[in-house]
Amino acid sequence: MTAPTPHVLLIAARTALDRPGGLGGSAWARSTALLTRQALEAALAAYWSARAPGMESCSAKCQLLALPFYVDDPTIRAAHQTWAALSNACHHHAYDLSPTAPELRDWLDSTQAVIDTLTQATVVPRLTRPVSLPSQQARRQSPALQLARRNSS
Amino acid sequence: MDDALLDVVLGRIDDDTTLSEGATELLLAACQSDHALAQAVGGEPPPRPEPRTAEQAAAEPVGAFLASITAEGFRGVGPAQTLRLHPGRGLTVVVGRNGSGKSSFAEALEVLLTGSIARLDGQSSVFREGWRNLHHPHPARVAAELHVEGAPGTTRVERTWADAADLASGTATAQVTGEKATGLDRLGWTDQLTTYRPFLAHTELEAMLDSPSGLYDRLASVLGLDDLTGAANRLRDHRLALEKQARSAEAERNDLAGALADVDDERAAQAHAVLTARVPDLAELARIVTGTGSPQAGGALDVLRRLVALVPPDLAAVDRATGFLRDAANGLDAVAGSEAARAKALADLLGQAVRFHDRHPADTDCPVCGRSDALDKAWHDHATAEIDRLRTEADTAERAHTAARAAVQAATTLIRPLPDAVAQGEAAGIDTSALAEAWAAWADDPPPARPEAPDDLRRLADHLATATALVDAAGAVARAATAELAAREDRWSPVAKDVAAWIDQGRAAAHTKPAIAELKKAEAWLKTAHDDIRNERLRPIATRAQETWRALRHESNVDLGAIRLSGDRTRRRVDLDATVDGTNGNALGVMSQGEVNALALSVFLPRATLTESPFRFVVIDDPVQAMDPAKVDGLAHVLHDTAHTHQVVVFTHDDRLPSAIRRLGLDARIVQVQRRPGSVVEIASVDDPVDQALRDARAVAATTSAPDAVRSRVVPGLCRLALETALTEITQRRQLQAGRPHHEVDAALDGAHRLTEKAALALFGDSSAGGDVLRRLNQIHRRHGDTFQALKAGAHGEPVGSAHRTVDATRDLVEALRTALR
Repeated sequence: MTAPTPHVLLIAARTALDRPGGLGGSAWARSTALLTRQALEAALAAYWSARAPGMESCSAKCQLLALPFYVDDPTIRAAHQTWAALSNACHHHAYDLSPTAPELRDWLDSTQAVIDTLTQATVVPRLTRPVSLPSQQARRQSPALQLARRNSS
Repeated sequence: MDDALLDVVLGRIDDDTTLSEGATELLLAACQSDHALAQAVGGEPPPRPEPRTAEQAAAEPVGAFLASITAEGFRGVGPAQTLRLHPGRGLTVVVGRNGSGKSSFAEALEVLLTGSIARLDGQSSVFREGWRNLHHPHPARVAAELHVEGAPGTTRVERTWADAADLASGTATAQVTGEKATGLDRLGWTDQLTTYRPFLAHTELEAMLDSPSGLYDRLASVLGLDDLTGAANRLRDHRLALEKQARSAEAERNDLAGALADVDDERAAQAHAVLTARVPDLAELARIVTGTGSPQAGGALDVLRRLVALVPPDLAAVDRATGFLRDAANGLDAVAGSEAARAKALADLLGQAVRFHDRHPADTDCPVCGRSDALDKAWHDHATAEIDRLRTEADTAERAHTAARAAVQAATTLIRPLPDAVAQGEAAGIDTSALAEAWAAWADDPPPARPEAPDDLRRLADHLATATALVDAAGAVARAATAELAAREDRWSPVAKDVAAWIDQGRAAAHTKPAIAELKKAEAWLKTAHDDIRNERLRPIATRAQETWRALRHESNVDLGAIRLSGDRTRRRVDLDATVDGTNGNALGVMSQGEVNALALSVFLPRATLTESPFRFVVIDDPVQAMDPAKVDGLAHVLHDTAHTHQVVVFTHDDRLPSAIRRLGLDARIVQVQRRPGSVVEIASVDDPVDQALRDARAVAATTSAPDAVRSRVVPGLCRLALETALTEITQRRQLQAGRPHHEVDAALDGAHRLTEKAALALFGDSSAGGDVLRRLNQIHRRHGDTFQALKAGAHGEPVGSAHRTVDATRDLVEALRTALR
């Protein structure tokens, strides 16, 4: 069986969010988070197998740490945070509340952006400068501000 | 008034053409001082203030960063312990269990700078007195090191307590650029500590939204409108004082009018008329009171004064005149029958005859009657004697007549007609009828006095002599008039004094009317200006509060719209325009405690981090309580965001915030506080951005399944990131310690793109000194130069096998730099 593409997974995630169907309780939220995370990880794997074969089998954390050194794009800088949030939502913590629909939509949107960027980067391999400082550049576009704008729209 | 605020006011005045000149003067004076306003009200406005130059307007206040907080014998901290902080932008999270002593540091800083702890205000004495450490009550001391822009070196602030002293009676000292002084005044932060209060304890977070006026005060103080309120109060106080003055002048005017009405005096009546006029003629009133005005002709006062000044006939003169008259009458008697003219003519005729005879002695016949020899010597002698006799007779008669005419003339002049005053005596209540009758009898009908009739003269003399009765009567009238005048003066003068005293008041009150009107105009203008400026200044804070709230709210269905300040004095309040699921509602009513806390934080942070604040740090104690996990993520973002411009120090008792920070990959310094028995507090740095980058690098280095090409690119990249972060920290700390303004430091950091430039900036404070970097690193240790070169070369450097060694070498380099450049 061929692994589903990131886009297919993302569509499935959106469907789970918009039409929960029979999924009751918090199951719809967790399945959305799970599918979104899978989409993100599938996009990473697809990118690495084209760019640096072998890398796709490393941990998602390692792949995400390496990614800014290969793709210089604001969406990539936010990818790590989105992935961390999704991972957190996928694991059921006793004290955690399940994520809300607006949060899930945020994560879906930013994952969509990451997937688009990675697809683009795979088609036209970019020769990016090796060192761009993710955390310092991220400062200029602060996550909280982004979050605020998304929440307000 | 605060210069920036004054500029706004001046600008508004310029734009407003409807404001009168007088109101403008008052307004500007009110913006300055009470004294200036008093001058302006008095018609001598002080010079207008000048707007600031663009350069002055652009100046930022000097900022301060925290380098350390020390506590000893204070709350949970026994033996002295110091919490070291990175004195620059960035987020530091101090984690410690309840009772670990972490909050003691937050409160140590608060009491150090403000002299009190907001959490304890209003608490029972059990709480208030428990601030000393049980295990180590003495000495009690809190201290902090700050790096202040423009003050090279470390600014040290300390507060110590004597053994029995309570919390409020500590002794504070401040040491700025090496000079130590008692008290914290020289820091110049007294007002700013209230205005931009950089501390927020959990209890405050909960209390912040408790009362609308309390929140108003917190927000309003930051808007810096106190001076505007002060000016408005000044205008109001002045107006009230003037109104009071006007009212009391009016009341006294009424009292005085009443008193005047009771005084039976013409002046009192006049003054009464003037006083009761709608606008009293104060000049006229002054003339009435000082008596410089002419009294009403025919009025009692006028009559009395003239009666007092009455001149009766002079009895001595009367005596002389009667004497003359009688003498003249006797003289006339003596020459009675003689005709002066005939005697004179005859004397002349005889004289001519004698002269003719002298010239023609031969002619002896009388040329008149013709008798011969009539003109002889005997005739001549007789005629000569006759001439003398006749001439004497003529002279005597002439003199008697002249004397009679003169005597009559003199007597007539003595007789003066009845003075008007005597006839008007009744108007002044003086009985002058006797005098009038006597005077009339004396003056109106003197007997005819033909100067040639001696009897006429004698009758006139007799008539004149009757003046004695007249003089007696006049004396009586004058005495009565004098007495009446004195009586009137006794009645009038006390009330006249009152009126005189009132005139000044009335003059002032007359002046106050237009002043009050102008003051009212100025007040109304200022109120509008105040409301406008208030919301203009609130807007950026409100906008940031909204953004913060949106980042924090997550699943909350409450959306925060506009924040407005409205009302004043006891009706001041904050309008939070909140919608619940899109429907307008009272936000505070429907919000959970966690949401209220988040909202309070949304308002606190923008307020504490305004550019106008001298504090580049905010200290937040336990903001996480009552927040649900999703909000903790939002909080991590908000704090991290705030840390881009400020030093944010957060104390928290649980791991949720640090773990959210770690999970979200946000850079932060994490410090752990632990307390051993005996209040021995230990502080350990758990994590910081350099550690994070090195940890990431090590994680990638340890991923053996990763392709070599990736590892040899990513590991040096992350190591280089760790080094750059360390260099940035060092630069910030050293430059800020040297007193350099933070925006210059930021600009220098932003301008240093290359690793060598960043290193030069950290090592020498000069990014262009890159040529000396390697030499300096090699001085510390030769291998550090090599590490630096390798990281500079990045992906093209070391082979993969040494990935772990690259991380180790980077860690050593960072530690060496931190030690060498402490």
